[in-house]
Amino acid sequence: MTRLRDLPLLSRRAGAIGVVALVACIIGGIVDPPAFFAAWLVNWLFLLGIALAAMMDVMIHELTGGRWGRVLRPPLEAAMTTMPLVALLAIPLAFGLPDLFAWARPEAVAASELLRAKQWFLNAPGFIVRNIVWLVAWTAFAWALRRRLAGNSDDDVRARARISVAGLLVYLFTVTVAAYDWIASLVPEWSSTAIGLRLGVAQFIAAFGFAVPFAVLDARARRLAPAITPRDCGDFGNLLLTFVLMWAYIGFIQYLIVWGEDIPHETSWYWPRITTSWHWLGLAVMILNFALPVVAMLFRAIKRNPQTLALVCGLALAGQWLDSVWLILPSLHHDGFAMHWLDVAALFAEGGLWLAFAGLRLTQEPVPEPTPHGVPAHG
Amino acid sequence: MIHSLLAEFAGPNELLDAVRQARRHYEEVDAYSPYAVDGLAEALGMRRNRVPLITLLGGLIGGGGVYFLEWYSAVIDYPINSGGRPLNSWPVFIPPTFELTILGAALAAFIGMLVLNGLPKLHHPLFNVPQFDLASRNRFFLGIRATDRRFDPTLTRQYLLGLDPLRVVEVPE
Repeated sequence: MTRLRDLPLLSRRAGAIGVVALVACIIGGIVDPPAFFAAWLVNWLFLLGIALAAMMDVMIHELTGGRWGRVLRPPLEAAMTTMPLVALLAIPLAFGLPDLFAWARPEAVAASELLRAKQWFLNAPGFIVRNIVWLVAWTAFAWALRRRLAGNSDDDVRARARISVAGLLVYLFTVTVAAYDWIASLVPEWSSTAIGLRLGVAQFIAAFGFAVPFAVLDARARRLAPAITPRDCGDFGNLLLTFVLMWAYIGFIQYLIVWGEDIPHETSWYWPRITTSWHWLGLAVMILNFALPVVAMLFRAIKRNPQTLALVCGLALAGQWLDSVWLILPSLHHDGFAMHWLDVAALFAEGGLWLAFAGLRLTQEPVPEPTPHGVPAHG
Repeated sequence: MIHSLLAEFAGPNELLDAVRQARRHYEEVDAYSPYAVDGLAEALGMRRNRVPLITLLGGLIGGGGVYFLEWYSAVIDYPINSGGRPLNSWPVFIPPTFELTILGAALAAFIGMLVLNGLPKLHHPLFNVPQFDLASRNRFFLGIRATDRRFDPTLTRQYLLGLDPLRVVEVPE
């Protein structure tokens, strides 16, 4: 798309694409509001995942350290600092709640005893307040951590550690409720205690799928190819393997429990996803996020080569976008595969603005130089 | 009868340099160090071995075997209609299949490693050399096997002395 060497250019081009796509989205939204809100939610969740898990990666690295941070910290920190934009991008969704959620439609609530029983939690004001709380909290953590990244005094390091501990704990709790709000409540009778963790791990795949290809492309564009060593790539590959195995494990266990119990209000979630043409999408998600990375990461030649590793991570990122579609749209269109051109237009709109914002932050990043500890003695 | 010639070094970098040089002249070069030295395996030219293949086979046998066991007992040997679910209920068969895949692969990797490297061994000619127990403390050894086709007791000893070791020791068979 653009020469990453010239990062303001990245921001300009991504921003231009984003604005054009945004205009298309607004036109599409006037014509077909429900399709617009569904598309906006799918892509917003996708970008939220990258930004949030990038922040968690940075926090984990603050607490544990590790060689992987040298190369991945710049793109992860850039993604983390997009949290304010992601929070703003959620605003249009507040106007589409009745188009997305049955519990926000008064006539549906009046007709359903279940929705009336759940209304103490599933109601529009509560939903909006909860989400303002999460988004403000996540943005505050990103801002606080970002502010402390510049300095390296003992005070800064201690402050970053404190922020990271608090941020990781808050994330674990809030992502569970947020996943319930945004994903599970689309099928009000359904519930799963795993859906929060399921979304959280997916977010880690997405952040990695963004950061690794970005670091590799950036290093190549800036002629830093030796800066990413085969050993770095081996570490990234092993981390990716951890994330995809965890993702598949949680997703499968949730399915196994629902399958084993075979109760209508639990199978309702899987019904459109498995018995209709949506199952092809599910298959693609499993291949890109599980089968392909797991098999590819068994081969050191693929794992330790920046180009092939970036390709696998990039495909996992594409798989994460499809996963976001899979989590949302089948709950709205029960009868089979139904995607709208707005689903792609909203990706370009939100993704373009997001990338432009991330690019601004990247221009301030110094070139990642290999440190004596980061490069093997024989390299 | 000579088993090999050992050159003793004080540090890992000396050993690594010596291994790199010796590998240009000899093929059957060994290195002994008290801890893992980064890059030593590559310098010794250790390439592929059969452990990954054995691990894969162990995993396939473990996973395939237990799935067959579940399938055979549920479908052929003792079929029971359990709430209308299919006899071959693959989702519930996956967890044991997964566990036994890991177990089979881990056991195959461990046993395969022992079989391929010949451990455990009660004795080795290296233990005939009194200094060799320093290899598990603070000394680094480079060995050249007498079976190397360019090995010559006198010339190889001179060659090793040229690598500037602390000393060169002969290992009797």
